[in-house]
Amino acid sequence: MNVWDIIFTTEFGYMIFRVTTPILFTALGAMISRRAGIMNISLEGLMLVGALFGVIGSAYSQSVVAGVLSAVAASLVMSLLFAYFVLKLKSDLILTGIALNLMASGGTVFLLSVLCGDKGVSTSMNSLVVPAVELPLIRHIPVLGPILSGHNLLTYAALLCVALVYLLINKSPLGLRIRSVGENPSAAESVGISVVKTRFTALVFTGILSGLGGAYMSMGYVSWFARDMAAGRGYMALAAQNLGNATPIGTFLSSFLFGIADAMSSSLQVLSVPAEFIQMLPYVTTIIGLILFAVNRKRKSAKARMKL
Amino acid sequence: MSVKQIEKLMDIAKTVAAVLLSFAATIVLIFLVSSTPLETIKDFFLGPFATVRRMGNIIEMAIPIVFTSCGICIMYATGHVNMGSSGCFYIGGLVASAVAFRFQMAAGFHPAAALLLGGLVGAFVAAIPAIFRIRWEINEVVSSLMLNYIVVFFGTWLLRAFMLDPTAGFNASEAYRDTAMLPAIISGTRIHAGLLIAAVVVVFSWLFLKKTKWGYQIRMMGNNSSFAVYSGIGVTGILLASQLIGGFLAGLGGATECLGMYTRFEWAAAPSTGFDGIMVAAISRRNPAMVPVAALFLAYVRVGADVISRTSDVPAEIVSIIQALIIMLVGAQMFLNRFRHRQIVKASERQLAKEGN
Repeated sequence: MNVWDIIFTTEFGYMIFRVTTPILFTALGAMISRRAGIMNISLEGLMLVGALFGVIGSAYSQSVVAGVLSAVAASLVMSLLFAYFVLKLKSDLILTGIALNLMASGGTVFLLSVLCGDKGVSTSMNSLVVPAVELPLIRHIPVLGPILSGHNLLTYAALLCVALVYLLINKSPLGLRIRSVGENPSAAESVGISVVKTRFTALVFTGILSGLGGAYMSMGYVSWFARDMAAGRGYMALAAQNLGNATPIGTFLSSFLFGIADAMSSSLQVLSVPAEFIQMLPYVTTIIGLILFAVNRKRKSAKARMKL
Repeated sequence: MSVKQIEKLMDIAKTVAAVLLSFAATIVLIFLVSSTPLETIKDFFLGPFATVRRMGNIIEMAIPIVFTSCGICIMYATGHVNMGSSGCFYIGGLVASAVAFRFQMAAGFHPAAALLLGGLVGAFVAAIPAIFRIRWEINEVVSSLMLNYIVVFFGTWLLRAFMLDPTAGFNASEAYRDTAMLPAIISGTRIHAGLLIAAVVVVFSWLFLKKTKWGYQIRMMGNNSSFAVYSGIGVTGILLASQLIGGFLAGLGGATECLGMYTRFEWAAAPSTGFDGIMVAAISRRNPAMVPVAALFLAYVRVGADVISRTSDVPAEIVSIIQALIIMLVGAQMFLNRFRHRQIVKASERQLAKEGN
């Protein structure tokens, strides 16, 4: 089979949306943290906890809404724990992030094992999935229809979130406060904006968005929880935000770039190239993206200096 | 007592308090999930000392962590957070393994060559995020995390394509030659000659960081990089050197672990040792002299968790919750801050009263 035969299909286009969704949610969360001046590596853990609680919540309540809500709540609690340690107890950002990720990675397995006696997957739990939606009218358009329609409700929610986060960051008073706290905390403090309070608020949004990303992983992408199922997507989301220069649109586009790489890594496995190199794609794309972005930024700032 | 002494004592008190608090949390958790809580708690705390073999396990488990952690003490002293030691450890083990089964060498020389090569490859991997940082100002946290995945996929391919032993029955390399392996040094356990190398690494890291000019420059850069620049220190050179040394130690650790504990290369993913090193460096406050103590402690908790996962209904993963709590509390500046503040005020008052007389 030829690479192009696989890529130029509507299935592949559909797949891109499918695999971009969790990265997009979490990258938007990462972006809000970053704008508030917080390098947040706990996203990986937040997603994982969200994914597990989505399964637990929906299995015990037999309600999809309750499942998604419990995913969001669990991720939010973790995010607040992060906020408490970093903002109140002045812990190191990176260390706290690593600690929470370890706690999530082991804690989810702990809980899984206590609840269903299995340390690998949650298939014995009768958990639910968020339904897929056929878009009226759009689904009849040739080519575009099969790509855009029929996705999980959360996929559309993620796209909607791009707009909401854009409004939040760029158009709302709270967004202005978040940006000012991130750009110059002392200046923000001097005009009466509480840095700690604003960052807390930003981390609340991060918790909610990562929780949705996690919920999608276990209630849409697949219909179960598996240990360490985030598989670096939280870190990738952090990279996407970085590559998107912490703007909503930039983050959206770079999340899609990683989504494409991720989609290729799962659909190109039929090729004769060693599977490991295909699986490497999302991570290599991230690094190349960071380099290209940095080179471009350097050239721009050199140009700006020339003008002066 | 002077204020400085109090600060030091408070650091210790904080660590002890963090450990006790997380143990308390563990006990609560055990009560919540176990049907035989008292028995389980006893096994958790005393189990690791019950047999010589288990005590040996503690030391075996601490050895690789000492390597990565000492490396991280040196890397983090610059203030730049390279998370790549996980990948360095993995690839160090892989390359040392290749040397260990592929080449024929004299007994003493063989492990030395394997270890050295493992360390060098580790240094090479650790240098990549550092070079990205120096050349393009790319955030090393993100790039090193991505690099870890790339290194492991690349290593898995190397293993599959060039090193696989089809008779092994699972994805593993050919068996190491006898000349390459690090011998056990204490009978009744699997403690191997890597322990001695680890001791050398600790002494070297401590001397390097605290007693040499380079070490001083590294620490100065971490404390205040602008000051370091203005006092004429070649910051980029220092950054690169620290990452190279840190990566070398992590790679050496991976190599030691493979040659001491295994007979073939069989890692399907990077072991957690890289991140363990970060934790241990945090608990020991980035002081290489304290690294062995912290590493032994971490290993003790892990062995305890292993014991209860076998003797009770509590899964071993409980340990991740203990670890996380300890690191977060030890790293928390404001934890017990009021207590510390009061002690310092009291000491200062005493000092003033004395001077008044």
